[in-house]
Amino acid sequence: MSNFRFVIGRFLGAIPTLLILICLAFFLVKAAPGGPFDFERSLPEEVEANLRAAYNLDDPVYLQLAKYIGDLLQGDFGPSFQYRDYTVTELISTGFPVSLRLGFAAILLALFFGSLIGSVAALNQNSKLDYGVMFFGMIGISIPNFVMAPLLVLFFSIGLKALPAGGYNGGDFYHMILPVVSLALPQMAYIARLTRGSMIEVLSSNFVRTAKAQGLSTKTILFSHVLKPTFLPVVSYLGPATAAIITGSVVVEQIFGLPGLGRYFVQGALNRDYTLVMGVVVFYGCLIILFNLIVDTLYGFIDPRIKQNR
Amino acid sequence: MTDLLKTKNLNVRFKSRGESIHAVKDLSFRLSGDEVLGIVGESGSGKSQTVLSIMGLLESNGSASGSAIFADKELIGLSNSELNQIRGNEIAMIFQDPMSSLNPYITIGKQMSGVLKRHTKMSKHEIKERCIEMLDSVGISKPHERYDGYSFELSGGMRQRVMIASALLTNPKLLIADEPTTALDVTVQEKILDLILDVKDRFKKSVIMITHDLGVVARTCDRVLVMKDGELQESGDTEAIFYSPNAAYTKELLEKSKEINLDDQQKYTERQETSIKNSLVKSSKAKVSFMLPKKTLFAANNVLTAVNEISMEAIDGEVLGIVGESGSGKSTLAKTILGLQKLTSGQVEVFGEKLTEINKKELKEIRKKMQVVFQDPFSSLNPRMTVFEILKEPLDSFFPSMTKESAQKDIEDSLMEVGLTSDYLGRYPHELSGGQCQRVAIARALMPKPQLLICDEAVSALDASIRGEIIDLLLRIKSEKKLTMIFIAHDLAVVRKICDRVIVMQSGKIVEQGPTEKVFFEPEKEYTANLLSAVPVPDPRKEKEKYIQRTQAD
Repeated sequence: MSNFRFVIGRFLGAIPTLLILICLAFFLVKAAPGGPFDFERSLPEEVEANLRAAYNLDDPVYLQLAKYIGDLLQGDFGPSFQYRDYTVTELISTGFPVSLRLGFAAILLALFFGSLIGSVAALNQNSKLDYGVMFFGMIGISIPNFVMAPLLVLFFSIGLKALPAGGYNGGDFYHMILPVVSLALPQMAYIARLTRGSMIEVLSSNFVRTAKAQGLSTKTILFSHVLKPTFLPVVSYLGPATAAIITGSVVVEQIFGLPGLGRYFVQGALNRDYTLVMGVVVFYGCLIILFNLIVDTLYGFIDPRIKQNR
Repeated sequence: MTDLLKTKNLNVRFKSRGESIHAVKDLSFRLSGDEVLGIVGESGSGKSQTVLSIMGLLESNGSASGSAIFADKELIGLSNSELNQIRGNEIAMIFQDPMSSLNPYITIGKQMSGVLKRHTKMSKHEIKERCIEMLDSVGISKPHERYDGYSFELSGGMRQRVMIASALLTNPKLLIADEPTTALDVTVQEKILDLILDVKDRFKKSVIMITHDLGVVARTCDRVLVMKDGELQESGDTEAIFYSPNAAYTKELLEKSKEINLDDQQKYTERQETSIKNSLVKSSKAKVSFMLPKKTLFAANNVLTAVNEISMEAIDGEVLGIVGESGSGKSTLAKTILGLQKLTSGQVEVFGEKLTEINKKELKEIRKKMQVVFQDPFSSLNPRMTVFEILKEPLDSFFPSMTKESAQKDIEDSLMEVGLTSDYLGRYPHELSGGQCQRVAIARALMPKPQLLICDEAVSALDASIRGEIIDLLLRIKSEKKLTMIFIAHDLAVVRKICDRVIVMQSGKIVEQGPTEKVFFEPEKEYTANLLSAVPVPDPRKEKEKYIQRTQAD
């Protein structure tokens, strides 16, 4: 009951957030110099005037905004300014599966190996293994993926010639390895450090001492007492991690030439494709809000104290 | 009777940053079946490390040597899996802080059944039956509901009962209790100690009771070991230790515990008779309520009234004690006086100003005149600031125009006043002991030269000997600076020693107030009388009498 109320409350709370996001994105896009029909060869005036009229660009800005929001409410993201004959909805639905595949794989990879590595480091605290793992973790966090990706390409594609350097190829496994890895590495490193710190804290807690005093085996203590509290901070990091993966994917898709949403986003911004940029912003916004909501709900199931306070 | 546990030359050493710390030195003692053995000493005496080494629970940098034979088995040097056959099965342990010693993330039932799953071959159904039966037998009401509930839903005393119940599940021969009641209120402490004695008799167990409180020893133990700096000072029957101690340290410990003692018949004569009754703090029907989260959407508002229409005053020059158990609202009252907590209704006047009618600037002026010392000296000092910075902060905020030189001088002076030298200026709180931290906290409170000092459980977290020092310090400063003090504590003995007047609070209301002597020796209300008799006194014969009275009354 209380969880249900919490979810509804959060949904309602997301509406103003989204509205602010839409307005901000709308005015920022408009404020950028240039317009969607500024080509190297300028169009004849009448043609441009017709185009502007067709896309309602001559209306006052607030009217344009109101119309845009009105269309959004009906699920219509509008037509793209650049990709003729395509609506933004169509573009998002072609790009998103690629991005989803990339991002989902990256998050899973980061989550699995991050928590595994972090746990192993925590259980061997202050050993050489621990120091080694944490050293690479630090490197993973501090190297941004636009540096990591070319380095990986240099090593695995150009050096070892083991993996393709780019392209989607219908989502072929080998083509996805490098993009996924370079997207996942910083998150993996961060999750590993988070898990390690959290687990060390839990291991030194009084209730673990109690469990030891009860003669429980190390394995039992680990699985029934330690894991749950250890992963609480990791679960709450999943929200920000999703956002980081989305921003990361914009870069990674460019580098590896994947036809994902991030790539449309960058090109849309460069071409002043107002509706496309807006559409992707709104879409990403919803996605991040949704993920945070899922994470917070999940948190309530893991931590009984949260459930009580809802 | 044969010995259940016998240690010989037990040593515990810790390695820390290349240094070796010898925490327990050549300790030999014996425990026979069916007795309560007390291990008493101040923090750092090695009393906890002794039992942790027997249980094989030392931190990873610690090691034990020597011998500890439990039921004909040598425990020292056993492997983890061999120890696991004994821990929780034949020896069970309960700890000081029942909140953190129970896992808040899994149900009480799951935690308890884990023990039985490990040590017995009972079926799932039998395990549940046994757990609920045990919860019931330690006085937990609605054991079925509690079994599926979590530890954080319970009060401190109930949590400790759950700990005891889980310790008794496997019917162990030895129960080790490490400061089991230190974090609890006196009336709860009384019940838990009685429970431990009760289960000891009912289930025929031996108990090792570790405590720093000689009152607890007098109440519960048959025999006592007195430890200091890892060494055994003296051991013997409880009565012998209390009435004819041999070791100098035992005498000193007894002396100190009697110095701050409720049972002391000698009346303190130097109480101040204030002729001019100028009240610095005056509250009239002060009320503070908090809204609790609703259970369902349309439920009525759940309100907790922490301070319920309290009218009191603190008179210029007096030490006013506010006593009460946790949840009685004494700290909320202090916060309200300090202007840190908004009043729901009623009024509090501080230095003649009505708190509800003044603005922030005026409040700041008043705060200059009243300062506070909190309970936990470690967490109430900023760990990233040096002592100098900590002491300089109040000067910066209250006297922004002060020159560097005079600030420096003020800081050094006040440090001197609390008994520290200027060598401490560059240190961080973690480089100080608990007592030194509390001295710094007092110095900080004195920086703006206040007239009113509020001490919120200021000595509760300290060892007995340090507590005495800090109390002496507070009293000296009080008379030198003609301070008025509001002293909030749950420790009645401390209040008895230093307060001129006492207010006894219970669930947000004043139960009784009056001059200390009167309240303590001729309490009018039953609540006060119960509170007073619940405090264990360091006198085994009196405690035995009280225990017999209590058990017969039931």
